Amino acid sequence: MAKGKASKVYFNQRFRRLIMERKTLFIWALVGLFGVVIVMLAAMRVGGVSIRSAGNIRVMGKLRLDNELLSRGVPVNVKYDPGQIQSNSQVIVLGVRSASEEAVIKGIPPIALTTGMFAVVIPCAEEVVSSGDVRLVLMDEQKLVLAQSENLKLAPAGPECFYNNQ
Amino acid sequence: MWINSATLKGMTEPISLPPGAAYAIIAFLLSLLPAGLFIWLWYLRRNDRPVPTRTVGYAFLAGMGLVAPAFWLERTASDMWYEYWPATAHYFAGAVLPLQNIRDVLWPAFATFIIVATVEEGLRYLLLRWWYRRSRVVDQVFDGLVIGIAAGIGFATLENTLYFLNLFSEGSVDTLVFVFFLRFMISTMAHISFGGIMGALMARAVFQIYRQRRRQLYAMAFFVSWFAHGLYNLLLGLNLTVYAVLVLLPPLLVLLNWAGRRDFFAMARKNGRVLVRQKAPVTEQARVMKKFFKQFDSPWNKEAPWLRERRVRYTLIRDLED
Repeated sequence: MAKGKASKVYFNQRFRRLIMERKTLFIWALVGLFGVVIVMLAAMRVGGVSIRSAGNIRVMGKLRLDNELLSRGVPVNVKYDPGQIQSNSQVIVLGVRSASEEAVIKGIPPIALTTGMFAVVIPCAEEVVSSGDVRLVLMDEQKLVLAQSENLKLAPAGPECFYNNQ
Repeated sequence: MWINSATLKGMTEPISLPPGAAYAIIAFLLSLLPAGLFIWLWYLRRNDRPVPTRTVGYAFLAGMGLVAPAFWLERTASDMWYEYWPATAHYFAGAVLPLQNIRDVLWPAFATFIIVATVEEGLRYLLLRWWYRRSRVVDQVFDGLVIGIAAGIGFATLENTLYFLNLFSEGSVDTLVFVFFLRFMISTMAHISFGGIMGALMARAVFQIYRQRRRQLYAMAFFVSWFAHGLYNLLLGLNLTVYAVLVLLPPLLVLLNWAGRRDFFAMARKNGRVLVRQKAPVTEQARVMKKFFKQFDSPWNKEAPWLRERRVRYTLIRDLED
């Protein structure tokens, strides 16, 4: 009789332990899911190019701007690492690229690329480049993209365009 | 006295390294953190280690050794692309955003699937195929899985080292923390899953006695990893990082499932020869359960059921605990 009672108690303990293990498993699954979400958000912030396995290839240069909002008619400084931009071409252009179009807005002499910074003014005319989500791209005459910026917002023509009559 | 002030002064001067060497050492030590963690998770913490530690070490070093030829091949491909198709060569580095037409996806897909994935997974495939066919240590499918994972970790370690070294050289220390964390979690686990799946399928292929099935498994070992790697790289190149992380989850879950599959622990080779009847080693738990069922179904217990509950259950728990 004593042995039967002992085994019954032992079974209850193991049953309770099994329930606790399932709860623990559920909690760990939630923690794992939360971790995956955090990783996804951090990856979105950093960008995929830093994470991918791409080996020893020529990287596309990055154009950096101080402000993600581009205003038409206002000069904006574009910075980059001169070492990342390698081109033998004599014609380098800066373009604005959106989902539907691409427009060249400025020519840049190759010698100016060694400075690491240049200024650009986005034209006021909506016909040249539409407002919305855009990126700046640096290309050569053969349309080889040398560098591109992060996603930017191009605002419609503002007071600067009207006062400067552009 | 043989110790003079000049000697003392020399002894107190700090040892200094050239900056490049110091950065390289720091970058390598940073890269060893995820490698150490995942090797511990998959191998060192197990009491029943399937392969000797030196085999895992060789696999790790072999994985690191694959980086040089892979990078050389990718660089050569990139240079050839720049020379012969310069207008599209930038797609090798990633997509030009925002996407405007189907070419903006197809060209990066060509780069990731045909060049990067083929080179990296192809080199790993050749290494593992050559190794598994000759090795006497690899006698279970799980051994192949562990060695594949170790090779993937080695590749990821050296790749991370070069990435961090690049960041140090550029002075991008502010982004180092994020990039380190993400390459720790994402890039290393990507190589682990690709390498583990290829290793397991390769081992199944080597131990398969039927030729047609063996060819299928060899093909799967390459193409499954190749496709997963290419898709993962493509999504990162298109800046769809959320989907790239999601693409990693199925291979990882498959690996976790395979780590518990009993048939992967069957002894498939002995003294270098593939066994026709491949049986899993009998564990203590399996032996106890077999004894339990033999006793439970015995005529003695069937004729005296009032004794079954007390006797059989008590001894089962006691034997399992032992």
